[in-house]
Amino acid sequence: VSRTDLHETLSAVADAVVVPPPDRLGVERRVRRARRRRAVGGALVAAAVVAAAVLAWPRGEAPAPVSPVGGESVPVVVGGELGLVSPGGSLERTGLRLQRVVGVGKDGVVGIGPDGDLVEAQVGDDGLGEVRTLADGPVRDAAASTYGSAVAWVDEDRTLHLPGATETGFRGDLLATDGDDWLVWRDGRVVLERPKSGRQSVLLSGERAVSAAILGPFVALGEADGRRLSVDADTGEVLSVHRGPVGALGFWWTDGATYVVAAEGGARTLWRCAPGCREVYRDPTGTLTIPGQE
Amino acid sequence: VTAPTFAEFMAARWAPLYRTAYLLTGGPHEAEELLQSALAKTCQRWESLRDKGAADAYVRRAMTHELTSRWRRPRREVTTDEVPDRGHDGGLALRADHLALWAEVRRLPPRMRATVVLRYFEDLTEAQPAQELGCSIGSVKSQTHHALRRLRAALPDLELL
Repeated sequence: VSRTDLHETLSAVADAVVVPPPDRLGVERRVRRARRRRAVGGALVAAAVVAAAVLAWPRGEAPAPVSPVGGESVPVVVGGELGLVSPGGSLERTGLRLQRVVGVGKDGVVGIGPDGDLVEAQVGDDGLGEVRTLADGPVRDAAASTYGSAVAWVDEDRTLHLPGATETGFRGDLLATDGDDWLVWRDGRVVLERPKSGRQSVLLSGERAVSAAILGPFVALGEADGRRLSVDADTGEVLSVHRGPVGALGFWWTDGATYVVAAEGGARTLWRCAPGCREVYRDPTGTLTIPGQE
Repeated sequence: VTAPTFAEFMAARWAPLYRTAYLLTGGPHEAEELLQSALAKTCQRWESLRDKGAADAYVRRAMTHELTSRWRRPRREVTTDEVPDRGHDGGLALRADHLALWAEVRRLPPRMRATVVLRYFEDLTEAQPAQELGCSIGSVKSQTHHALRRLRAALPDLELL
């Protein structure tokens, strides 16, 4: 396929298209609607679905105590669509198609769109989703920091993109980042990479880990048996362990709690653990995923 | 020379802009909706557009932005006896080789498809699509590179007649 082939084909298609007459009324209708919206004070007031500002210093579950933060919604993907699970346990669908949700960014929910593009989605008052592209072209993998201040992704050429830096020849699955360092699943282990600070990589005891996060000086690991581990980022020493729902498929760490998705028969359940776990939502379709979950 | 009114502009440029919209969306209804939306935005800014000769670019920019930055709430499904899909050619009378390549272009992600259309249908330089898509020239190069790689992988033996 050459550039000439493309030019020739696109021109042939354009020539073959039957052009309808100009729909002046249709355009005028849209102009009137837009002016009405402006007149009442607001085209679309886009609001970040989850306020990233709520996420203060992530203390994790250990060794520091957890302070529960109420009022937060959990971004999820159910049936290929972005939804929000409220603290009360109801699911609000947004209509936005996503392959998976990566995390919460500065202005909205970061996810991988239907075409593999990395996007950040807001939800407006009228239910439409304003979406901006964070990375051109399909991405292989992506992660957002717990604070929402940094997003990292791996492109199709296996280049890892971090704020202000790139690393070529990336190998493994990207699990998490804090903007400077990142966690990667490689050769059956979770590895903490820290080239920016010049510190050595740390091999972590994460053979059974399904999710991970960098929480300041700690690394959090979530395992399939429901255990949540706090690990010293410098030594790899396990500092504390909490139990949770078995059959865990994914973990998402926020300031106030850790959310866990578990498989239960053909269904999936979403749990809020702080540090004790309670079920907040049951997804009968068995497709629910949370940030960071494949 | 008096500057054209918006109505004059729309009457004169509807057909070529519709063709571009069709290439961007791949379907007649989506193309018309996209073009109407972009023209409505242009109409609202018409008086402030100093260079009316650049209005085509403004409409294209509105179309590509709309296409790549917003997903609409899925429409409710309506049961019908008619089959709406007129086949993968979209009802167009095209040669088989053109049809095969067009089918693959339609499968490209929106931003990538927009880059291909602007570069190889509108014959814009690398800098112009970058301006219209609101991205860097490097992004245009990258999108074009990935698009060509995908198309070549999908149609390794394609040779136009």
